Amino acid sequence: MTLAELTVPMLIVPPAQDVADPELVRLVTLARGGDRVAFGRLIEDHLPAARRVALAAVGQPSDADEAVQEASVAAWKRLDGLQDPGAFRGWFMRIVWRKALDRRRSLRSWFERFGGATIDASGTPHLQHPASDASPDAVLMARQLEAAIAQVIKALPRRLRDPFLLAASGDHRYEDIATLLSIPIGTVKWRISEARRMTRAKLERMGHGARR
Amino acid sequence: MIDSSRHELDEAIDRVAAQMVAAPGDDRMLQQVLAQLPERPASPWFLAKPVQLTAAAALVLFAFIYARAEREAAPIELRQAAVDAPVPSQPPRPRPHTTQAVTADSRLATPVSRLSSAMDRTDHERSLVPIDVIEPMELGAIAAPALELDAPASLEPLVLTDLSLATKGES
Repeated sequence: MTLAELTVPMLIVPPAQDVADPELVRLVTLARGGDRVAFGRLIEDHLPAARRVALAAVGQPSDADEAVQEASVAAWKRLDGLQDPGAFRGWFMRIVWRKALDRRRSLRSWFERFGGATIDASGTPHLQHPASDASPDAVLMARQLEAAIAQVIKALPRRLRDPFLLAASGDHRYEDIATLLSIPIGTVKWRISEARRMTRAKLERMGHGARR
Repeated sequence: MIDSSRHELDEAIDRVAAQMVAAPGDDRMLQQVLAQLPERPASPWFLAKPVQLTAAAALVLFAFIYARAEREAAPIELRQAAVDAPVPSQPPRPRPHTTQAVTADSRLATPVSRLSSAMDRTDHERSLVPIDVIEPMELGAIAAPALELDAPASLEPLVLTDLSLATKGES
């Protein structure tokens, strides 16, 4: 199997959901009344997307999980402040994103103070390699390329990396990303495109892919 | 050839980016989250919507009544003075925003002009009571003493013949 065959859905833009899900509204209403089971259902439905949002900010699964836990507790406490129950998803994702950013800032300050390296450059990518029937050399080259790509993406400026990874999660529309990052939609699209262009250019300078 | 290679590179970038944020569902984590949820504090009664609306309405009503009572309790003199105050018949003329106007304003805003505006401009001459009849002065009563006092003094010349040249006991 070649790299081209390893297709992963990217930049899937979900359709706009103008009509609130009645089940979602019912669960939010129950959770407001103190129903833990209903709140658990809400978290369960949004947990994978929340973890992806947190991962886009902090990079490490353990940090992302802690950020999601903090965000869940905060959402439980502030549920009365949610005006529109149908807007629970966006409201919860914003809490997750802010908690993850707080965590990233604290980790960054700790690393800069004691470790001498930034959190952006630390850690290794946790990539999942599917089973392949390709030759050992091809698999090795593919893994080297993936490691190089992950390294380049991690080294991107945050203003480019954040929208690029949020879009790569496939959970959010451009409007959602713009709301999370508090920037215009046009800026989101440009930054995603710029992140891809910079990544490709760096990889080509490193000897991967096509050379101009 | 270059396009296909670049296409593969783009696909690889997208795939790696998606894997970097891949996070499947985790039942264990869900249980941890639910176990950490604290008891939700019951909403205080004063945060309920009807209570907030009622309090806001009561506040507005109180402010209205208070303002009305203040207006009625004002002294009669002040109210009369306010009624008698001259009302400008014409609205202030619009001031031109030209360079000359700004220069004129700056000229008027000198310390001397500010001092003159603060000075008392009461017209004391016009505020005197007018004199209806002019009465003549009686000069006869004061004529006699005035003449005696003002009479010129006449001095007689000193006669020296009466004086003896030799005194008794001297020769």
